[in-house]
This record gives sequence, C-alpha cells and structure tokens, in this order.
Amino acid sequence: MLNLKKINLLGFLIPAIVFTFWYIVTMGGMVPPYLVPSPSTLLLVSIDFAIGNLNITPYSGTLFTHAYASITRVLYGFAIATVLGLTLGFLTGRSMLAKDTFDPTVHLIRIIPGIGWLPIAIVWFGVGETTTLFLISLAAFFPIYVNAAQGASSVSPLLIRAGKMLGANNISLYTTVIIPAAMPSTIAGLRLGLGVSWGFLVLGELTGVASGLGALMMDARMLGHVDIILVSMICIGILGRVSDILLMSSFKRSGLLIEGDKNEGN
Amino acid sequence: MKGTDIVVKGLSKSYNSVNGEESLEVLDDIYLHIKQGEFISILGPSGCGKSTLLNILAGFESGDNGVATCCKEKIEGVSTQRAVVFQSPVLFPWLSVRKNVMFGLKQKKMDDGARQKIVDKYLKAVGISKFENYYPGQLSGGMQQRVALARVLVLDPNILLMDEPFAALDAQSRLSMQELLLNLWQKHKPTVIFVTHDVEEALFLSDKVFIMSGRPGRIKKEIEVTFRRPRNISIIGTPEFSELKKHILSTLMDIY
Repeated sequence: MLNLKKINLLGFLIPAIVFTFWYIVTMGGMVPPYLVPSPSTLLLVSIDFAIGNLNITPYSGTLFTHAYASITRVLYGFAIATVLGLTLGFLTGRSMLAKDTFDPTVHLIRIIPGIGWLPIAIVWFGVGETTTLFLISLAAFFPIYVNAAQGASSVSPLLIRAGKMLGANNISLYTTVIIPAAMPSTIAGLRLGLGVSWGFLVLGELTGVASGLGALMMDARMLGHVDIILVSMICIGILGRVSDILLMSSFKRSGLLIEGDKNEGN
Repeated sequence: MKGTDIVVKGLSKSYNSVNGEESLEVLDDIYLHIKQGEFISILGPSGCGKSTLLNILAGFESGDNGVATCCKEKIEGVSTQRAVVFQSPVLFPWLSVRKNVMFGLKQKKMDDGARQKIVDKYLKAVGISKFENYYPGQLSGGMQQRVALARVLVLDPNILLMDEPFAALDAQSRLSMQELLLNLWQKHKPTVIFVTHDVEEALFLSDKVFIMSGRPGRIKKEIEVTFRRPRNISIIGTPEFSELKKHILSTLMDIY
C-alpha cells in the first residue's frame, strides 16, 4: 500500500485497453490463434517455456538456456564496447591531438548504420557467435564513445583548477576530478550502449546461432509457434529493462551517480 | 615558515582576441610587495584585472612580462602552499562535504587516522560539522563557501588567495564569513590576498589595501589600515572608518 499514491493510474490505461481488446478478439475467434494467441494461451506457454511442466511446445523448459546464451553475448559485446568506447572517448575528450587523430574516422564509421555491417560481418566471421559479438560491440561502441568524449571535454575548467590547486597530479586529476565530473554524460552513453546491445544481439542471433532468444524466435517462426515468438520478445524486453536497472543501481551504489543532484559547483 | 613574501615586479598581461588580431591589455606594470602573514586586499572596479592578478599568483596563468615570486622563487604552476578560494565555491558535487574537505589530504601520503582528525578539526572550525554527510548541492551558498574554505585550510597553506569569495552571499552570511575568516587568519596567520570590489569589506579585513585602476589594471594607491585587532563589526560605524572609506571612494572616483 505504501507507494500507491506515487503510481499514476493513467499509465495503466492504454495497456488495459489493449489487453481487453486482445482478450476479446482472440476469445471470439476474430483473429486465428496462429496469428495472435489468446492471453491465457500465452501465459500457459510462458510458464511451460520457463519450467517445462506442461510440454505444450517443443521449447518446454528451455527459457534459461536461451536467456543465458543471450545474456552472455550481450555482456561480452557490451564489455568490449565499454572498454574501447570509454578509453578512446576519454582520450579524445581531453586531448586535442587524440581528437584530431581519431574523431573524424570514428564519426565516418558511425554514419554507416549498424545493420549495414551484417553482410560483411557474415563474410568475415561466418554466421553465428563472432558475428553477433562483432555487431553488438560495434553498435554499442558509438554512443559510449560519443558521450564519454562529450563528458570529458565539458568538465568545468574551474573544477580542474580546484583539483590541481589541492594537489592532484596529472594522473589523480583524471581519477579524482575528470572521470567523476564526466560521469553523468558517460552513464547516459553506457545506458544507450546497453540498449543498443540488446537490439544488435537479436539481429546477430536471427542470422543463425544454436541458442539464444533471437535464434529461438526465428526457429519458432518456421515451426509456426507465434506464441513462442511473442514470449521471446517479452523476455528480451524484460531482460533489457532489468539490465538497465542493474547498471544504474551499480552506479548509484558506487557513489558515482548522485540521485537528484544538480551537478553544480562552478 | 620564514621568507614567504610575495613580490611582483613589472607584471603585465594581455589577452588576444579569438582571431588573434586584437589584444586586450589587462594588467600593466604591477608592483606588489606583500609580507608574510599580512592580510591585504586588492580593491578595484569590475574588469580591472584583479582576478587575473590572483590567477597569476595562484599559478593558473602566467604573465607576459615581469615576474611574480613567492618565497624568492618564480611562481610557475600551482602549489598547495598557495590555496585559492574562488568566487563560486567550486566544490566537487559528487563528493560529500566531508570528502570535499578531505580531497587535498587524499592527494598526500599520510595516515588515514591523521587525515580524519585534521578534517574534523576544520569542519568544526568553519562550523559545518553538522553537514559533513550532505552533498554540496544540498547546502546554501554561504555554507558551500565555508566548505571551500575548510577544503584549503586542511592543507595548512602559507598563502590564501581569495577571489571575491563572499560577493554572492547575502549581507548577513557575508558578515559572519568575514568574522570567521578573521578568526581563522588570527589563529593560523597565513598571508591573505583578498580580491574585492567592496570598500567596507576591504577595510574591515585588511592590514593594507591596494587600489587598482580600471583596464588596463595598475596599482594606483596603497593604503595602510591601522584599526586595532582583533576587530569586530562595531568598527564599521566609527568616524575613522568612515573617513578612510570616504578617502578610498574618492580615490576610486578619481581614477575614472
């Protein structure tokens, strides 16, 4: 009961209407189940997909295998993008020489849509694991890089003076002033990058890997299991949201992101 | 420490416009001699280059001609011995008040217990112990400026450079900050160079007031302020104070 007042009921209006509409059209048989399964079927299929107690689809009890495969790929791809994006971003954000060297090329490559890399990635890495990782890390790199560079370059010169005056040397100036001051923008980039990672995970998996939620969707399409396609989509949505919440809360716990902070100080 | 006099000789400074075609003369032929432990004010109209002068003394910028020395050494780059309190507090918004005050000590190799003790002492000295676990953004301007003061005092600097530090405060907080500053100065006796455009503030605080002209900034006059210390606000109403204030104001007017 405690947070009831904080929840705005208006936000539930559209989902409620959609759900009712969905329920009515599938109950009345206006839409055949091979296009849209009824909510109750979908619920049963999801439960079976997760714990495998009913054996109503060929995919009973395989949720965790597929989810695990997908989560692992996102983590690896996102990690590669993070390491490269933050390193290069902070470098170009603080050094004109690095900026003049790397920035034009990075932005040239950035213009090519991530999906456009799929054919060449398949040629280079074959269908499967490496291509998926390549696509994820490539696509997630850009938002991370751009925002880290932006954050690093816009640190208030007064904060830097204050840090130097208090005895920070060139290295500790980075760790104690520049990186924390650039955090709000950097975190925005990481969140965008993580979101993009899930998107390109699905793209990579659609091209044909053995396991993973994206692969499952493609497989279910061929077997005519629209319910599994929808359940996979919902799973990806939930995993994406949960990973975002975990990312944010880890920053809050580490003290690098201050809740409700106005980030003033100059 | 002996011999930490600040000597400035023939210092000048210009800024170039963005396209490099014009140049703006900010400081012209500045001479200063500030003895160790003195509290001096630099008084002048806005844009007279007093902040630039302070930045050069801090080591943030360097002059074009002339020389600025501290302890007989040319000032090149910053030093923790020359602490700066800026016009705005410039605290680190991601650190709590306590960690802000701790910042300078964290850059040094020392025992953590000793660090905590020093921080406690200065949090108390500036009257912000109660707020140590808040973020700067949650405090008022006056409180933030106290934190900024504590943050440099923990390093026990020989010289305190203050750039209109109380200009943004309301009259009451300003007065209490001035009294606090005088108390702290009397205890630790650092050299204080206090930049302001407020005549009363300069008179109330300093041993000596340097009056600067408008751009390009020159030192126009040096006025000794001999009111007995310790001072409190009651001196502001005395005839001697008013007399000196009138004198300074007319000097400032003459410059224009």
